[in-house]
Amino acid sequence: MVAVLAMFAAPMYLVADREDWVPDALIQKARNEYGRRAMYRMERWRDMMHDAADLKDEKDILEEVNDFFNSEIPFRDDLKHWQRIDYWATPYESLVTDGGDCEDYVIAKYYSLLRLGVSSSKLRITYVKALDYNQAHMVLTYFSAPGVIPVVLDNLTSRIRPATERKDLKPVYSFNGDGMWLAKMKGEGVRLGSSNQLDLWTDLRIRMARIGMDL
Amino acid sequence: MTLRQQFSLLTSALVIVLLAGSLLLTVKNGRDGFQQQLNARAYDAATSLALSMSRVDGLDPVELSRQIDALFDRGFFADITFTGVGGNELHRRARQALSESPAPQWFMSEVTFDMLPAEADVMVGWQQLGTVRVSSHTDFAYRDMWDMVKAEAIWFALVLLVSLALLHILLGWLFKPVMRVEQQALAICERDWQIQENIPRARELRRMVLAMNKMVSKLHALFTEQSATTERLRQESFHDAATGLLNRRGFDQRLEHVLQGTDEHSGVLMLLQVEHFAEYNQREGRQAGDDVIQLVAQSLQQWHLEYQNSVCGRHAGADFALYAPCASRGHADELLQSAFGQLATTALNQRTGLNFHLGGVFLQGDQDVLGSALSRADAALRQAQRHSHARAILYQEDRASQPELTGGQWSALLKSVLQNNHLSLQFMPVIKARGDARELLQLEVYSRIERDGQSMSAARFWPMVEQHQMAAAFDISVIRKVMLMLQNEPLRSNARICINLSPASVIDNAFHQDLVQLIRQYPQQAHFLALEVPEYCVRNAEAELVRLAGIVRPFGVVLGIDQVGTGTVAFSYMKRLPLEYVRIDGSLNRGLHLAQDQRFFIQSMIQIGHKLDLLVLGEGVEVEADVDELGQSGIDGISGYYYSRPFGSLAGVEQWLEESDS
Repeated sequence: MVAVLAMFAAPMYLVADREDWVPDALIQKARNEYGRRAMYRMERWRDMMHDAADLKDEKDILEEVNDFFNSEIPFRDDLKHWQRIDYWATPYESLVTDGGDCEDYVIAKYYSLLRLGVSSSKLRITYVKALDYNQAHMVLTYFSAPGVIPVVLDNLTSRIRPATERKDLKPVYSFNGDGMWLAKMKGEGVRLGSSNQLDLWTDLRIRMARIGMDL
Repeated sequence: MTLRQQFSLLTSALVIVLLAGSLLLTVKNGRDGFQQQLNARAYDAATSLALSMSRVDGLDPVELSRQIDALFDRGFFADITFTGVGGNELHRRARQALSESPAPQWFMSEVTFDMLPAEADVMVGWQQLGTVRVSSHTDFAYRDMWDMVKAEAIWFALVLLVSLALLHILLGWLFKPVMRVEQQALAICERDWQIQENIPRARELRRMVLAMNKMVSKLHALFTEQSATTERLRQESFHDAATGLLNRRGFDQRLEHVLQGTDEHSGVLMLLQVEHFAEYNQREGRQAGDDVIQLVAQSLQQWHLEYQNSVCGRHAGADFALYAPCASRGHADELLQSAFGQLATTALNQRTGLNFHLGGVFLQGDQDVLGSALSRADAALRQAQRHSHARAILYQEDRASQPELTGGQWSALLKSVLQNNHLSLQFMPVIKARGDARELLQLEVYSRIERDGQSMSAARFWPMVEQHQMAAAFDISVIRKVMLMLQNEPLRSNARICINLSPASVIDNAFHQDLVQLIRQYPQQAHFLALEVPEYCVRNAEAELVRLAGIVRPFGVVLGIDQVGTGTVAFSYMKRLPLEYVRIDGSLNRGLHLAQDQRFFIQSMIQIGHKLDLLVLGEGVEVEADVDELGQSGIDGISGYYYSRPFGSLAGVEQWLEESDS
């Protein structure tokens, strides 16, 4: 396992126990607060992660993760699901509440791929416009190398396809979820103690950190 | 360091520590806030720059770079770099270092900002074109923070100044009683017993002031008590209880000191005996006898008032003794007749019918023996008693006496001495009683005149000076001579030169004026001068002495009393007069180691003097036992033949001191 991760030039933290990716304590918490079915969903996530970790091809990992969340989480509008216009939920929240919108899919996939050893420099969170629905949308893009045409992980379609084939999407802006200073800002944000003053991404990272998931 | 300084230092330290702490917090919080804001701004700028660059049509490189220029020229960023996907730099704008530093270099090197460059991707459709990287610059932050630090420092400086000023005022008010207590203590040394009327409210200070007041009262009472005791003791030891005259012991002691003293003597000793007094006593009764004694004593006291430097005593029963300084045989005869006249007119003959006789002897020379002088006077008395009527007879010396000077000749001699300055001076060292090395404390001045190649001491010519009313002129002449000597050969040690003033000079206004004029001419030498008068002079001239002290003290000249213990004046004068020292009379120091009660008397006098912060000195000491005794009694300085004879010059004294040192 260690050798496989080394091949992907994975960051050192991936060597840590894969049990930490979806902590047992969190699964127990899901059962206590949301019931057995929520616990099952969390367990399925953990099992998927463990299975995917044994895959050698990065493309297979992408498909495993994409398929899991597209089928496991039903699409629910933020306003209906969270009674807020825009809420970036953690994968835990999306799974236990059994629903999420496009950002929540992206976040869950992004976190899972990162844990499975995909380099953050290959991933971009991309703001797009869904032309068919004339709606704001968000997808996760994967660049196999710098400067190439990426593939798109989308909750609207189950298949991963190159971006050039997605005539139904118009890219607006993409950002790298990593970035040193953001990590620092997160620390300061926690110290400041008021997450709502920060941007949505940083706010999310703080909430993730609280449930033991580093983003 | 005074308490006030310590308080000020403490306050300053406190304010400075507060300032330092507050500045540290200000700088740290300011730094964190600025850092967060600057980093956030860089991130925002990078995001919006990347977003707007992604919208450029056809990826026109000029337009892309102009967008970077536009943002950079706003002036908030230190560096904006646009890199291609491969890491190649496409466009870069970076600031030059400012010519004018926004804050001092040390400040900028102490306070550092952790600036993180913010990155954002520039996209073309789905593809990444490159990355923009933006860093904020810190000049504004440094400028604002430096202004903050300066403002705070100024504010604290103001606080410090105001608090120091307030502290100063507060302490001044608090310390007022302390300063008054200090004055009180100093006043005690000046023989002034002040009581503080304003009692402070602060409890500790209040107690201190009350304690001080109590102590002052106590000290005053103690002093009064002790001087009264000492006076009574003197009275009992040396005076005749019935008449108040000196008793035999007192008289003999004084006379012996005159005869064997450090200087020549010249005077007349008289013995008086009331004839058939024993029979009169038996016949008329004890009370009548006592009355007669009282009458004689009163007459003698009246005579003494006229001749204040004389000594009168009751030897035994109806025997009385008198001694008065005089210049010559003729002068002695005059004095004898005046005493006889006084007695004859006021006391005996008319009222009681008792007869009396007076025998006298003229004594002159260096040394004489008491017994011999008394027996010669007694011989004269026997001679007078051969006459049935009252009689006064001067003893005829067998030895070939020198030709006597007449009054006119004396006058001419003294005038020529003054005119030609034929006065010569001798110096008697007063040695510090404590310490191993011989340390010079004072020099007593003895004056002499030359006549036909012969030196004549003050004991011989001074009675004539006073008779011819030339005392003031001679005193001035002596002082001038001393001043000139000091000017020519300054004294190496810090000793005072003590000059005896005649009682006649003290009460002479013209003398006061001449003296001030003279002192003004020698301001430096005046600091070495001390003027002294005999104790008996205090009784008649106390006011004049106070005035004289007031005139000369501003120039550094001090006042002393000599022949202390011989007068009939109460010691309280020491408290009233602004004195520097008192010199106990030689007659009291002589044979001190043999007399227990005398020792107690001397000790008491020394204690009184010391309580008043006076220097107490003793003169006329000849034997080591007496020196030891005086030293143990706590005396400050001693002079006498035990140490040395008088010296003819200041240089002689200093040479002697050097020799005795080695």
